[in-house]
Amino acid sequence: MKSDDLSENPIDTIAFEWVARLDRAPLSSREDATLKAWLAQDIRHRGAFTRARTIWLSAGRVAAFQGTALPAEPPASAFLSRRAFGRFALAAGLAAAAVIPGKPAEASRIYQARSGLLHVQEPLCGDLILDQGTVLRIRRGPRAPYLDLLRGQAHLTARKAPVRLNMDGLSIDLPDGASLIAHACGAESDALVLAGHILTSCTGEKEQRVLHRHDWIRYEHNRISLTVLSDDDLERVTAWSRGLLEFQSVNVTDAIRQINRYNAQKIVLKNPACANRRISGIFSLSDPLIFARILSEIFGTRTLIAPTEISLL
Amino acid sequence: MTGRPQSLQADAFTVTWNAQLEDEPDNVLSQNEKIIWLSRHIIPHERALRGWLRQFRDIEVDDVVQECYATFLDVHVELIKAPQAYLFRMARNIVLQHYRRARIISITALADFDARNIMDESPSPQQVLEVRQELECLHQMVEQLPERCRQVLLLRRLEGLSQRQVSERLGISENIVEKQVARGLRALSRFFSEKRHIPAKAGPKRHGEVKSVVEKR
Repeated sequence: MKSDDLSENPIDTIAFEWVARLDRAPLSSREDATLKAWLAQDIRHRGAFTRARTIWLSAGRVAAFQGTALPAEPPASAFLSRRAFGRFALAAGLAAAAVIPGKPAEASRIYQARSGLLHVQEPLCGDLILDQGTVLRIRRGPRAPYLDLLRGQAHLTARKAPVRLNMDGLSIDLPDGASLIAHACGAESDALVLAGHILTSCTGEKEQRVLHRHDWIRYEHNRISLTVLSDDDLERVTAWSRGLLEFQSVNVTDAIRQINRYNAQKIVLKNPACANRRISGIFSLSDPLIFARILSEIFGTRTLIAPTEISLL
Repeated sequence: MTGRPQSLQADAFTVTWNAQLEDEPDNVLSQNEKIIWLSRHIIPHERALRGWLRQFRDIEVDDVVQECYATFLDVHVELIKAPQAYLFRMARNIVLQHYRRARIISITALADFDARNIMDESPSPQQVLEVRQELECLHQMVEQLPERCRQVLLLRRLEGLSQRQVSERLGISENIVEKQVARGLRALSRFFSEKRHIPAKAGPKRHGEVKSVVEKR
């Protein structure tokens, strides 16, 4: 419900007609009753009518137009012509980055995002953003670096060289410049293409697939599905990689749990009245204080702030 | 649509709208005075208010604006020291009420929901300049109206002729004059509510929808 075109707002239109009517002559008792009934129907009617009267009064500002040509008296004729963000909010994640070197002989590295997002410019393969709790291993392959997404989700943009990404059931080849978000959770894995043309191989399938921007491939328990996402869905699914959390009709308790995943300062809901309310919105995942303050505003709760805890009472 | 005014009828008991309120004499005076007060102190800020409200999801800007005007009727406006700030706080509370009532609450960009973002009332040199520019824009708007609508508006509001006199001057029916008045009102409504290509700084500090959440840190 985002209309802001007053010319099409039916309530305003009716209000204007009533003010024009009142400007013409006194109302009949029937008209008066009709107007009163209309005004009593809805506070918006009353507001629109008040606004229309205000606008009509403000129209007196045209009096500043002295010297404006007005129609002569008497009239000569009965007829006259006639509606990107500039940077990532990754500081919290960077502070919590952990690099666990693998055995030198294996020439591999393991990255684990332990607290918040982990942003890495990996010389072998490109730009990486790892979500909280994600574990990624990078190995040198014979022709291209191999990435093994062991757990969690990662945003990957291939730079300078092609890259191969392996997950359970899915193997993906990214050419230089291609970008995707990949997610691995046990026997389930999925990938969403953000840029470029990507070649995928699925366990149990002989043929490879070429995926394009918006394509979302999922591998679950030996089953493969492919979906094309809308721009809005793409924005929502990739929000975390921009340091944001987007909720759509999410239980308040679950939303708080997700925010808490990324922050040392935890929100604690001590008021059960709003625990099962649902919220939608976009928030900075590294700023629990703002999120808590918003919840407090809406639900009328009190906020108690301590160094490691924000209590909603 | 129901609730529209019907054509003028030859009713023996015609009354004026204000006379309807004669059983509440205090209200008569205060309502008219409030309309004058609203025209001086609120409508100049409506455009900025609408711009600020557009950042909130699932909010019908028109609804909030209309509810603001209705609420002012129940407020002792003479006690309001800072009308602009009062208007934005009123709209803020209406938006919050909407979210509290909503089954699903959309609270994008509510990080901006802080009265501290609402600027004070002292006019800056830029705002003074905008007043002049606004008159120029109003003049341009009127000049761009269809000829008949423009003539009706000027004769009625500049020269002070009644609708009947306007009808006689232009040689058109009173019904047409009334319709042109309503048309002029719609044009004026757009003038007081839509963005224009003049530097505007009359509202609370404006942030991007989500960008603000990031940049505020």
